[in-house]
Amino acid sequence: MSDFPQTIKDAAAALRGGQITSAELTRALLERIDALNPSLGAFIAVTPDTALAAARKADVDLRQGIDRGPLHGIPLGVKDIIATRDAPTTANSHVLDRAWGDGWDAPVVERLRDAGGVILGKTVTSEFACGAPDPDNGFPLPKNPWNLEHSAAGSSAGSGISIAAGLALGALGTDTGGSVRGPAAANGHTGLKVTFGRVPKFGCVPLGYGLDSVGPMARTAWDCAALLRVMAGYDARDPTAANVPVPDYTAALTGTIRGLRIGVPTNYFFDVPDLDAEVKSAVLTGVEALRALGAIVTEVHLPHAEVAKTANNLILAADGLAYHHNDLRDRWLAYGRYTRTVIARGAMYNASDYVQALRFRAYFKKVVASVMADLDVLVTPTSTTPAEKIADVDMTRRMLGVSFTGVWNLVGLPALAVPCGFSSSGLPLSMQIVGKPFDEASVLRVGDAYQQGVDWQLRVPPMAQVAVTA
Amino acid sequence: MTNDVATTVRTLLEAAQLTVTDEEFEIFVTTYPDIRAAADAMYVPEVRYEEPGLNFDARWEITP
Repeated sequence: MSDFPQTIKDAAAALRGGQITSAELTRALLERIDALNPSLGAFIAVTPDTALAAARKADVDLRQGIDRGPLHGIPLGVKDIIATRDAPTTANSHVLDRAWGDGWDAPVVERLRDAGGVILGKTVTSEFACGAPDPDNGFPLPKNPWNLEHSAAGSSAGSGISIAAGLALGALGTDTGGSVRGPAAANGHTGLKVTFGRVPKFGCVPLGYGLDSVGPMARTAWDCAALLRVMAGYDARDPTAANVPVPDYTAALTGTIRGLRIGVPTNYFFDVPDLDAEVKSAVLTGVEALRALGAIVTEVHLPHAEVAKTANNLILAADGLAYHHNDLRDRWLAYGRYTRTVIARGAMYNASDYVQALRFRAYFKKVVASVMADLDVLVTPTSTTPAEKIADVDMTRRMLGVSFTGVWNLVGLPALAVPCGFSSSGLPLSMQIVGKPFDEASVLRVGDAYQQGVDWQLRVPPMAQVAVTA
Repeated sequence: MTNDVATTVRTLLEAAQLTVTDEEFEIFVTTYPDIRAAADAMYVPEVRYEEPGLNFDARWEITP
């Protein structure tokens, strides 16, 4: 791996400097996928022919002076609930009609291709972007490259693995309650849940209609910024897409955060018993690093944060049950065991609960706006613990337990998962940077400034290092 | 109490026309009190006069 750039930024420079071609880079990553994917379960479908054709075209274009920007010639993965024209979309499920999404690109994929991106294939997801890795459902079982006995989290597990193990330089994930940030935290790279409406989700199998978002996953905040610059923007085919201007996110990465105001919500996010001591310590050390860079750090109180997590889960389950109802009724056992019970939780609530969740959402949005009135970002842990063992995954506990991510889906805010250390057992730890609506630029700026002083995001799992040099 | 919960869960699943396995049914029975308590916790006084965060556009042909 040391012979090849690990980040989009470095690869973009190497492509323009003539140190490497897109075809060489793509071929190398395809070989890595061949070598590592059987162990890791990152990709469900690989498209070498179209990927190499796109790479060769990118090389020709560059030689002719046609430069489509930082993603030009960069190999990328796409989560297998997003439509791509050259590979089937399965949602890692036996239930999804294979005709869905067949032969066309979701707008977000279209934009990546237009920007010169090279799509390597489809990455493994938890079935329908919910549930958990299921050894019995016949699809690849995603495993954490830092320890194969541990979970890669979900639902964008394959995208997370592919970044951490150096199988792709960037990837698309989706996030309804933490599905971009969870895998980023578990696998040790950067992942951005965007503001609701920031990226069109047309062409993406829905889970929670009012919560879903498509987000970039990559090693660094800079790389996520480069991806988002291309992904973001209005598309009328998504009725919830927001028609707001798209800034140049990489230009916002000034490297300085002097005077930037950071809130640390001490209740819930730092005082719940479920919070692992190493996670807490690493995040607080990260906060101190931000303070040392000149940020002004203030402790804040965020009332009813635990209720916000419940409201998010409720909306997710209710929306999901509406979408899946007839299939669950008629083909219960065709769904994975985790997926069907997570979605069927929607039947445990009543109609007024759903409306109350939406009323709470409106209230909590005002609460967060008030708390953040004099702040630029909040910082919290991304998850309570390092990646759990696959054998210990308990979806019941997870749905009822503490979550630091779904809170921000409820209020639609951008939230960046950033690696901030490793546990004593060698697993990645992560902090979450939360911004104001459509202010992805600030969360990326904070993440980028932090990453200029650390190398957590660049570390490669030992099993991936071995395979690269072979 | 357990019987009451089991009856409630069975009724809810039947109303939704969902046929779960025996093991899954037991999990729902075990977790239902916590699910219900969490949902009840959303009815905080501060939300009393809040309108739901709906986003519905009544205009026709808002997409091409």
